[in-house]
Amino acid sequence: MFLYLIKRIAGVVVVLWAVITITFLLMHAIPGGPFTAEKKLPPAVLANVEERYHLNDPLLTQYGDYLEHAAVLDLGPSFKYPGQTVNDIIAESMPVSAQLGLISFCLALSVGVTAGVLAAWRKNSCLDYSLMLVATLGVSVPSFIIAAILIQLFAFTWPVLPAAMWKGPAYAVLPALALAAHPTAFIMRLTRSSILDTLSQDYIKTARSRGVSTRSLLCHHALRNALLPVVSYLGPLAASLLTGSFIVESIFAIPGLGQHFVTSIYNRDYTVILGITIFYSFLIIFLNLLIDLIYPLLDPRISLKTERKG
Amino acid sequence: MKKLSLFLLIAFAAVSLLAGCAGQPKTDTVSYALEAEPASLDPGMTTSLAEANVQAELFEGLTRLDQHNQPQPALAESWDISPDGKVYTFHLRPHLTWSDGTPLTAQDFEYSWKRVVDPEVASQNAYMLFPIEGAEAYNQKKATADTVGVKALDDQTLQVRLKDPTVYFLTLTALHCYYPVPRWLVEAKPDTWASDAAGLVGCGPFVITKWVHSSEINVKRNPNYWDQAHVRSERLEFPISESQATRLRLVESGQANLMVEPPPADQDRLEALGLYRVAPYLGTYYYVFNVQKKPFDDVRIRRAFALTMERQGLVEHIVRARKEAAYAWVPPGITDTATGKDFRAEGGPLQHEDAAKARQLLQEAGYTPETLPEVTILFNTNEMHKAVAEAVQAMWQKNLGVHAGLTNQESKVYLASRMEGNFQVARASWVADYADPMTFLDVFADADNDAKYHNEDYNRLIRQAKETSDQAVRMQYMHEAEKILFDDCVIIPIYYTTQPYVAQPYVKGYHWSPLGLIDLKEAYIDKKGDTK
Repeated sequence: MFLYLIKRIAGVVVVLWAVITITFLLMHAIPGGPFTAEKKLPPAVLANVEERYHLNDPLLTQYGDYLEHAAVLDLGPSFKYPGQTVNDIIAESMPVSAQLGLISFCLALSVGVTAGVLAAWRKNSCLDYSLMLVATLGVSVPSFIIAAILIQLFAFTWPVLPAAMWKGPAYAVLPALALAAHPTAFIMRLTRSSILDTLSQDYIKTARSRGVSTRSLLCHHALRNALLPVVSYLGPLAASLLTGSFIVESIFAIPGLGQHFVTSIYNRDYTVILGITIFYSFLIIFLNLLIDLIYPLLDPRISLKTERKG
Repeated sequence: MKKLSLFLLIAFAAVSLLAGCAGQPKTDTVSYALEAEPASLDPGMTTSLAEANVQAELFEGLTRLDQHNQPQPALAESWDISPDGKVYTFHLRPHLTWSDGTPLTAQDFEYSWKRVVDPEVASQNAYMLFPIEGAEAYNQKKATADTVGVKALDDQTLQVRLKDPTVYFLTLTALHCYYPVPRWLVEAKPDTWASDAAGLVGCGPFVITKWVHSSEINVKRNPNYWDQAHVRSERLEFPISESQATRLRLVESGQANLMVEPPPADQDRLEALGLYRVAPYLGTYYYVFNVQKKPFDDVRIRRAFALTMERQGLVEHIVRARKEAAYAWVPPGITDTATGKDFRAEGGPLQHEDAAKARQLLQEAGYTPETLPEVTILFNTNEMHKAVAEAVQAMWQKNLGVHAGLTNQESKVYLASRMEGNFQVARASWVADYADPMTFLDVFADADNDAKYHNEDYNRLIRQAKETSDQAVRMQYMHEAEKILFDDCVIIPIYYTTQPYVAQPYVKGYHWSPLGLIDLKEAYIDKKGDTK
């Protein structure tokens, strides 16, 4: 277990280095820089600005400098927001995205699993069909349309909730629903099909032949195995929900991290692009590791040591 | 299950109640939905309108533009101008202070202006101060700060020496890059002094109380401001969103009172509701030829393409937002300082529409639509630019028989292509830095302009116009220069721009500058007026 962890952590460093290098090369390959604007700066003024930000250094020097600072977790100053460092930006916007993401995550998990179990339990019933209809809609309708419908209904037709901004609990309701719609529907479908799959296995049939009730079968025998696929989906889901969604944050004017993913690229805000990419990669790797550690607890057949035998 | 639904019901009721309280319209606060998160609130460093809109309430210059766009005394009470128009002596109001009570003096102006052109500080606004003697040389590291023509003669007197008699200098002193900054703060925290609400000191009608990055900025009345009598609102709020649709929803749901640039698709609906407004904005949307790229290196070909434009239909059906078809470079709305008339009205249209003449010119240049090299229009990816490009493509096809290709690129990729001359004909737009024809005409005198256009006669006229102090002569030179630009057919102007915005009818007292800025100093909510 300990050795396994050491190996995985060493892997993380290599992956992060590769992410930095590839991102660095890609972003410098796109034409235009942080100070390219409709109003072109006089050459001398531009030269002063580039000198100040070390943008006139050779690319290799810039790369070396960046790695040096990144190694001690200093992600540099933003070009677009000169008074803020990338560390500031992440520290300020991440908690907002994380709050919203956590609400959506809990919502998706609780509603998704409950509805999935209900649908599997009452397979081919009216309840099953209506739940699956809702799930299909949730998976296929994009979040900006769901957001628009929610806003129209609850901020205009029946004005009980604010249409945008981030100033308190009431402001979280609509964006959390919009953000949770897709994962809820996905978990619902995943849970249902996975339970039905498990229910057709031999050990369940044996239990059933012994007279175990359907309810007990579901809750005590099938659910635990059936949830494994759902658990593997939770790692990437948590990473994407916690770091925010550009679309939902933009529609609801939420000061989260999601917007920076997109705007930093438009702005060619090099340090922000790199910093956020590193942060997101780290989060995904970390959450996946966490999920891998949770597996054996759910299913004793999975062992962290197995790969050493192979 | 019953418990759950009961819980949900209570939760929802609680949330509704909460929201209900939050939605109460405030009568002492004007709220303007800001179109972008300010990069900083340091007036010497930032470049876009969103920042300037907030800075105009937190700071003030020697002058401030009134609703007719005329410079009025602000921190300066009066000024003297030397007969040659090159030396300005400003007299500051007595007992001016910063928002924290520290005295504000002429030395603060000297420090702040020199800071903007300091090459080490590297402000992107440096060029806006180049009319000041020695400023450009200092910025190019060819001279020291002492040679810059700005000097505090005493605490209340500021003397400015200009390179040329710059007749619009008093409008420049109203711009954000000419605002004073609090020296002691800037020196203590050069990069971060204006990046947070905490400790930010200004000298304008309001002081900042809150800044949640990318979310909202709040300001309240500044008790140390010299002109208390004209400030009518206790507070201003700036909820921030880059999304046009979100800003519009903020206004329509009562969370804000004003927003700029509503989504074009909402124009008809908003007009029916009486919420749609349009303010003048000095800017021109145009197509620029690369005059060094075939086939547009031939002026006859350029003219042929320009003559086939059909602007009226384009403006009425595609662009909308009450834009005006453009037949010249300098937009209407700029006063001829010699005659007091409108510069554009005096100059008249300089480009015409004549499809028959266009076909004839193409022939004279030795081309038929079949033998003409392939032509491509470059624009940045955007619904509106695409619609305009498609319409232009159809006009050239119909009137000239030429099929033009369309290339769209991501905004900065497109700008890089345009600046490097990697295009034949490209979309472009220019908005005024200050209200004088020179802000437009100077563009094509730049050795490195997008059109790759160089005409010695044109450059000479621009130079002479800058040097003369005789207004009638100056205007004459600029009219002549603009004519040359169209004799050489360097651009196809398409429309003069406007500033569409949405305002609740109960907001009063604000005004727009034709430079795209809103001034909320005297804005207020009219309680007696229409409240819905």
